[in-house]
Amino acid sequence: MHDVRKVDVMENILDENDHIAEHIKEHMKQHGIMVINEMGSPGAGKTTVLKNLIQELSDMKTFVIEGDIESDIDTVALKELGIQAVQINTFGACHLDAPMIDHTIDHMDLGHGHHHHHHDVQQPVDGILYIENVGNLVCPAEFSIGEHVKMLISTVTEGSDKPYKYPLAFEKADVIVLNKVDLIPYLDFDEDFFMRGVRALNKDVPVFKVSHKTGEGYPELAQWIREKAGSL
Amino acid sequence: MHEYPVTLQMIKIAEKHCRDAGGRKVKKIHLVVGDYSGYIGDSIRMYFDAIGEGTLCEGAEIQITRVKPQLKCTECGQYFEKVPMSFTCPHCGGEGGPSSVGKEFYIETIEIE
Repeated sequence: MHDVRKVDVMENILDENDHIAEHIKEHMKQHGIMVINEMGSPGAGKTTVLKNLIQELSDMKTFVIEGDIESDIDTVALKELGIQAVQINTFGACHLDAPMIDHTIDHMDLGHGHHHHHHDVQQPVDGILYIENVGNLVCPAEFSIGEHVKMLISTVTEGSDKPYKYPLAFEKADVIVLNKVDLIPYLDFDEDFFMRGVRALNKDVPVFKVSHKTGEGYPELAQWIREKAGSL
Repeated sequence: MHEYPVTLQMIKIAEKHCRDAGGRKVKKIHLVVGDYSGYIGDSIRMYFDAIGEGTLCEGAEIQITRVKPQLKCTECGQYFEKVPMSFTCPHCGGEGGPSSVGKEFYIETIEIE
């Protein structure tokens, strides 16, 4: 009979993911690129928000990684706009993780061809990598994927109870985009209740109300992103 | 699908600590999983049965301690369990904010031989 011994481990399962995420963050910053992890339910308008932002911030270099369970229609639409977009199909998995992004970035042309000579020199941040996560309000919030900014898209059509039902996504967001606000007159969306939930979870997070139909809110959101990139 | 990569990672960590301690086999893995971690213990067990084979962890018992999420009151500082659709503190009526209780996801100990 062998002796059974107990060994203290105390090691987080996601440590490795988080180490890779930290590496991506640093690597991208050195390339002068801010990474935005865009999260939201299916149908929240993630791709539409992205397209609007890309237009507003057209003076910045733009890169897109599209996470999708199996289609590439969003990527095709972005490529038609002349944007460098790369597809990741997760084939069933409900979120992206840092190793997937790390692998994808390895195959992207991030520009700044001379960066190898200036590895210690901080590039000014003049580019944005948008990563559109898989449509899901639960799992993506748990994984860092190397982002500098977690951007949560919530919509008035989903209802005002979302912060109460999916607290982690709201707690972790660095910026919240309340989408489709042109529809408020036709819905029972209770904005006060929504905002009370948001504030309980995330005291200072900026919330931008936007609409693709009217264009409202996008200049302000774009300005916030610009300032964030400038302060990285 | 969601638990597959984390189960692999759990096995990797347990194997590493087993080897470092001079063990040859992992008999038991004690995992702490918060309900807000997003992981389901039973799913981890299911994947473990399939992918633990051929590793030092094959046949190990997976013991899981679940942790219920708690909010921390911003007024009185006490921790409490959230009820649906509310963040109100049951002790003082103040407002609860997020805490790290319930987000745990780590291996506490392993038993090896």
